[in-house]
Amino acid sequence: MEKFSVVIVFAVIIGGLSVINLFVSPPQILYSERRLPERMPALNAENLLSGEFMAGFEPAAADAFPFRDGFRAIRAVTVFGAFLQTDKDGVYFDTHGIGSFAQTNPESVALAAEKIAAVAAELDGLNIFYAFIPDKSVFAERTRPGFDAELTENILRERLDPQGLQFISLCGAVDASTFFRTDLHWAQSGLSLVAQELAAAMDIELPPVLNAQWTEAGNFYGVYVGQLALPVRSELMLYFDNPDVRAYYLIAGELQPGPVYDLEMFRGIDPYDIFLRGIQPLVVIENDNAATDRHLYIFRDSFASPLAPLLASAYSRTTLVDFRFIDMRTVRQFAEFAPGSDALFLYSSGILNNAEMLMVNP
Amino acid sequence: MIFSSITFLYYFLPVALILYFITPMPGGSVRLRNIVLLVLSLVFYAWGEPIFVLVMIAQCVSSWALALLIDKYRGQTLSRVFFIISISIDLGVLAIFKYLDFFIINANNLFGAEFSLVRLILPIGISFYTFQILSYTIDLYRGRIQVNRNLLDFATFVAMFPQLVAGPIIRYADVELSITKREHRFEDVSIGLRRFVIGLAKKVLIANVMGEILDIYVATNENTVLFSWLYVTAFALKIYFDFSGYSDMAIGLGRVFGFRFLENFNYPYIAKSIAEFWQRWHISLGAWFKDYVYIPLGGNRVKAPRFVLNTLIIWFLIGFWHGASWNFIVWGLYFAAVILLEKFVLSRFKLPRFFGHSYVLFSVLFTAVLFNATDFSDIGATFSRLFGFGADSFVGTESLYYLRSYLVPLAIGIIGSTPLLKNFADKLSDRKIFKVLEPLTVGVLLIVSTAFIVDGSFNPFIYFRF
Repeated sequence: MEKFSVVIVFAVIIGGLSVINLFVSPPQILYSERRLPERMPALNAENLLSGEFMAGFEPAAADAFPFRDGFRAIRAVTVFGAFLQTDKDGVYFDTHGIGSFAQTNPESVALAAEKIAAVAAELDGLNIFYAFIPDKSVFAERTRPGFDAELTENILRERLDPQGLQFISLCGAVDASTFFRTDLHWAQSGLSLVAQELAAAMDIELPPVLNAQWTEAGNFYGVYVGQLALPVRSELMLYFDNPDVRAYYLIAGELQPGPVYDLEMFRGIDPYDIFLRGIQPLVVIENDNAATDRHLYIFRDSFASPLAPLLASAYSRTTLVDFRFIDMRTVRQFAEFAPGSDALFLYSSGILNNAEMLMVNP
Repeated sequence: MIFSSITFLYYFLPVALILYFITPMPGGSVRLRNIVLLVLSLVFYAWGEPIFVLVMIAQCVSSWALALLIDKYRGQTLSRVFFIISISIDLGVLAIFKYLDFFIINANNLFGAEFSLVRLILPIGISFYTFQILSYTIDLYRGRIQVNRNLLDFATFVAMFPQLVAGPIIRYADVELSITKREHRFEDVSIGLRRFVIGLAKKVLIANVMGEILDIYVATNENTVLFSWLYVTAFALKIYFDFSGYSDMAIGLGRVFGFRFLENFNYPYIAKSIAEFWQRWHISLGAWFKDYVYIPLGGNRVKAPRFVLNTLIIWFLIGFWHGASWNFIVWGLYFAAVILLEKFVLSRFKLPRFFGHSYVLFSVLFTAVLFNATDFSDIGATFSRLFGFGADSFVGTESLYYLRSYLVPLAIGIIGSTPLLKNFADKLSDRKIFKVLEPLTVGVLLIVSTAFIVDGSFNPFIYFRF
């Protein structure tokens, strides 16, 4: 019997999974990894001779593999439980939740500064501020050099302060609790200190946020849950419900109204898209009951989406521009940049370290 | 196609095993199964090299046909002529694909010429299968083996997918009988599959994890002594588990198909001298050069100056076999220097075992720098850093973090590169619990290795480039 046992185990695993593989159709979306699976390349003579079919086969086969999430969990258990490693592909977990170690790329931060300066040069007469969002990993319990807030600040200030831009440090307003436990983003419910810090620097007054204005969106699993591939508890997502504000989105060359918090998108592949509908090149928030008639322009990434509705309490019009998806010439068609308005450049480490994504010529 | 992939494990292998074992053996003949094995092997190779498979087929046909002529005119001058033609074709193909640009670059540097580079892609495994073909031609010419008159059988020997792209280098003499007549025993299938899974785990769970440290080292800005030692240690473990893992998989699959390939590794890191290290590391390559180059040059039975020259020639060639680059040649000559040191100096003293083990390990760790170098300035800088020269400090936050994070995989790698686990398994093998532990271990290793492959630990084998 013993000489059969290894063969049986091998046959059951290899044969069983191969057979299941034949009958299981590939997923449309890899929900836990929040991405589309690699598609099997077309089987034709050209692809075969060029090797493209073979090159594309393995990633597509791995994405369509049966029990993929289960196997990813087995790897995670092995990495953390057997190998006792402190992160898996840079993703760690501690008492603050899950995070990913980000690096600081000084060349990219410098490029980001040059791009910010180039845009600021076009904003005559505006009060221009800038800030960066420290990466969540700086609060990790286990020390590993990654995002360097001091270096980032020095690079930005060296290039932007002489241009007359005013730096706002958020380092004192952000800690581990500012962020979702399972996501890279900060939670809107943790942003009161950040909003106050910005408001003080920009000389505006924010109305107090009442408890009654916090509304539950539902349970939320952040992007790191899929990357960690281990079972993790969900967390509650709250949003600040301000009936005074209305949002408009640039769709097909026109500003069209839409919800500030889109609950349909909360149920989609990335629930964080609840805030201002996720990836948007240009969003305008209007507030008829604002304390002032000042305008605010935020040049931003996704971190600004939950922050902007808080700041919008003080501005009659808040325009959010994401230069990853729109250039300045197009922006000018929808934004007048009136003198006396405020402008805030607010970027996270992800953008500062990959500044080539910004569609701006330095 | 590589063994540690979903494509191989869950598409190719099940189909290959089913097709092979359902193919009948009329009258006990393995001819039909050889044809199946050959077709599978060509598909396996064409998966990675859809065009260059034709080069391999052409080499097979020419070597097989010339071998018939060598045999036909045995004892006559023509036999020698056909032998030289056959060897020239095989070495010529290898020289063109692997070494031509190296020669052009050096000719340009030496003579100030401006010959254009041809930039040919290196067909996977060309060094391995060319050496297999050469062993057949040379042994046939020497009269040590019978000529194979069946092209399909000969092509099966050359192209057999288990060892096709990264060895072990199989000699025709070792499988001559098995090619035409072999048994398929259930026990061999069981032992072969167990060996295959162990090799897979060595590659996926240790070599690839060590590869992560190498990637981190390349990406880091930290310039410390600790990180340099972490790098050379991880490289030494990666290359051992990568290559010996592949050899285990090849030997295991060979056994499943009824072949007995010779061992290619025998715990080289426990050697007490570099000469012994090379009797334990890539055994099939060392044996090939010994039998076909070193002994014809006179071997050990020559005067000291000739011995030195022979040693330098052999190690120059071994280095050059590994790659068309000066760092590989320096790597080979480094081993020649250490072996000559052992022969003429160290052998005069009775040194403690501890010294032998230590100096072998340090010598091999240093070769990691040579083997993996991109240029000579890189070699000098990394060597210096190992001893603190040019390093910013002894340790840094990042190196400490990664030492802590990879401590267990490093420890597993170090223990796994000694016979401790094998000895432990051998002791257990007489006990009843082994009957449960053996299939359980195979199952767990297979599932965990699959998990690592599915989750993206997808790295090519280092030795594929040779």
